Amino acid sequence: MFSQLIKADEEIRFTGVGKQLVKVGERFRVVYEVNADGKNFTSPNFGKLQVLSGPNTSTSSSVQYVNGKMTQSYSRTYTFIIQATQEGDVTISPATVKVDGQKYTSNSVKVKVVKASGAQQGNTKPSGQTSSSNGVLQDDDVYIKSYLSNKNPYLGEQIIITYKIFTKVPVTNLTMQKSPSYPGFWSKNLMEDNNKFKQSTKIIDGEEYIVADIAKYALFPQKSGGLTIESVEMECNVQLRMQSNKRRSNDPFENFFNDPFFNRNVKNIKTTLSSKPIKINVKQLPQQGKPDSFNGAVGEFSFRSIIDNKILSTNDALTLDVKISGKGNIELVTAPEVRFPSDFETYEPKIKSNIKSKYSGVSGSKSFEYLAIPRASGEFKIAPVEFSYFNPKDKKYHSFSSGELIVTVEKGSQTSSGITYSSSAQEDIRFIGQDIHHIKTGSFDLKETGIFLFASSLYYMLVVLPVILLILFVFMWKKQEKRRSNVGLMKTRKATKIARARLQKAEKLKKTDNENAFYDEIAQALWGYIADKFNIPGANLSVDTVREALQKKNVKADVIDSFVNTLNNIDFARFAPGDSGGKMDNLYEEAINAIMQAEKELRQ
Amino acid sequence: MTRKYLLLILISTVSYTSFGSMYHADTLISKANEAYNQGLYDSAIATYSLVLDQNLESYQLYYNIGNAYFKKNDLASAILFYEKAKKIAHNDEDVLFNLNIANSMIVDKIEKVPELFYKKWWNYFYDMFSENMWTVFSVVSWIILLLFIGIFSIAKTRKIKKLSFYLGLLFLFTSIATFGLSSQKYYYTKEHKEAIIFTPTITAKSSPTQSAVDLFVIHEGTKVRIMDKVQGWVKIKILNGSIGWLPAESLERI
Repeated sequence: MFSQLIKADEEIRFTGVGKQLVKVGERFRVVYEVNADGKNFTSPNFGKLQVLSGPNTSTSSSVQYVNGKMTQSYSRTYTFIIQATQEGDVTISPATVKVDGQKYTSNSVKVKVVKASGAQQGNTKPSGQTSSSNGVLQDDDVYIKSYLSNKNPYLGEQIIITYKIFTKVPVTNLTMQKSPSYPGFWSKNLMEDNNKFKQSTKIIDGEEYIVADIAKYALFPQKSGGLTIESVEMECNVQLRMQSNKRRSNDPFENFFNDPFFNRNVKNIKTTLSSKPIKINVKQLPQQGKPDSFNGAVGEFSFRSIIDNKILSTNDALTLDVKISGKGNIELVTAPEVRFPSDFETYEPKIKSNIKSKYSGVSGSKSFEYLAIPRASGEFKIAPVEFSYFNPKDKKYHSFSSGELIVTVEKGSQTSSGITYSSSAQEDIRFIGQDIHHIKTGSFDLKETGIFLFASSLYYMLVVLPVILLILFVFMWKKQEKRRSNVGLMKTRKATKIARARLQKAEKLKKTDNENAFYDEIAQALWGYIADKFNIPGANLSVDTVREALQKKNVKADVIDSFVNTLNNIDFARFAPGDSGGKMDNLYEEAINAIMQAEKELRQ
Repeated sequence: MTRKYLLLILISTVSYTSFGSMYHADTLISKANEAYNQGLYDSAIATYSLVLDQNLESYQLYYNIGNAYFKKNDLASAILFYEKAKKIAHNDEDVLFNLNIANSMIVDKIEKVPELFYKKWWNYFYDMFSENMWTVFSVVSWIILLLFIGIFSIAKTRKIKKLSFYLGLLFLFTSIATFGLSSQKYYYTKEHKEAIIFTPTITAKSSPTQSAVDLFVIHEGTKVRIMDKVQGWVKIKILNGSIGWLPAESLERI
């Protein structure tokens, strides 16, 4: 049917391909391909190699229209699965096929069989019993391998782990037994949305594997040091073809049904696959250059802050929108601190996040909406909002700052229109925090330690010295006083005596009529009495000083008057001539009286 | 003349300070203050300590060191230095405030035993001035007392004698009181009778041996009064009146 479509100029190619170098016991494929509808394929002679299965025939065709031109391709492959049993060079003779009645011969395939290494020799099964055909699963038929993007990340750096399945046999019902837990990591599944596995084929050691990503996680290490990524376990059904080689008879029907094409004898084996645990070493973030605002964000981020209203009136709401976007542990980014003035009523920020987990990792944005209501008017400064992150690529911290935001708050209409002024607008001072008082500055009263005034020699001196001084002073004072008072006392005691002696002398003079001498003597008696009695020097004596001295001693006024009158009379009598005898008698009497009265008064 | 001379001596004692290495100390202090303001508390403490090493002290210095320890969250050391500052300046508002805050953050809360009224009065005066001030007062009142004795002994009139006698009696009492205050203060300052606990938790024992009965547990930062000491042990009394023995190395004297 297809042959009719093949154009005459299409060359028929028939080639055989096989592995050139195999080890003893190894299974491999030899594939013959013809780009036409081949018939009557004759198997080549495999010599010392053992045919495990084959020829398995498969056909494929495609029709393509390119720019109105049609191209067709057609191919039929005959696949043998061969096991090498012995060392040595084997040449597989050409196979033949008939196309449109014409016979085509393929190339011969050369295979070199070498000695297997020890490990693999152990794996070798007795000849004629291949595991895959016998329903026993080999280790390398299907396995899981994990790939890690970075084995030496920083704390919080995003690393991606990919689990890949490698299989040679059909696999169904691939399920993860338990969703992997990553102790020490914050993880995010990157393949949640797309359940379709990306498939590809890969030749490993000459064998064709189907490779598919089955799981992918973004991991963020949460602590530094050595961490282990635990293995994941997956359960799957593996389909193995069975060949009943017990009865490998010559029965043609048996052979016919043993042909893989018809072979429906498929066995499902449940098996558990597990990946190997991976050890990683998480580096601590560098301390150097760590900004104060650093909050654990690692990756590559951008930052933006918008304030909606810079001029507003009191009690109007103000929104500050801070948006952080980028790649990395964005989900762990916490709200940056915004310090509104204390006159602002603030609320918890509203957090909106838009985080996508893509094949390439976790990225997205997070926005924080801060709402504040100014309660007082004025110009306010909002301290810069800062955000910083660590970029593991250039191993540096990067910081963003919004800059100082200045907000002008005008008096709202509510307060300005209010006519009543109530004291309720006053508020108590609000204490926002408590802290110790600041350190003292200025000059310190420094003094040497361990030096005390008390019990020091200076102290003893200050206590004892005044006592000595006092004793000396009092002693000296007393002595001096004694000396002074002694002279005075003597004079006072003598005063009366002297006065009396003078008066007796005056009496004699009166009898001899010696007038002048009498007056002198009697005046001396009175003046001298006062001078001695009151310790008054002679030069200072006068009527006034006498009066004063007597008044000081509380002498009665009439006694003072009579004393002073007597003194005056004596002076007067001296210069007034006349009856001298009677005057002298009177004056004598008067003087005796005055002194006696004064003496009487002073004794009291 | 003699009286004037005495006054001069008194004035000079009030300003009785050492001026040696003062300049150097001042620069150290301003450096340390700068470090404190920048939040470098460790280097601030180290620099302040250099001043202390010169055998110089002042309540401001102790206060600042206390602040630096407080900022480092070392409450026991902070309290120790605040108490040292308080010992010199009893009524400094900042010292009392910060000491109060630090005391409110320690583990132990000990109820103070109420004091008798005369003790309260005595302590009121006691806290008013420093040791030096009280000593100066006692010397001054002693001299005034002597003056009145002198006046009394040389007075001639009854009135002056009477007046000087009563005034002398008054100054006799003041000089006894101020002598008492200054001597108490002197021994208190010199003997370091108070201490701060520096071990996070310590059990007070009934006698100075490790095997003695446990009496009570006190914590870091608590102030105790030292009553007695024997080989490696001190007898302490806490504010509520309880008495126990502690290993000497568990506390630091104020």
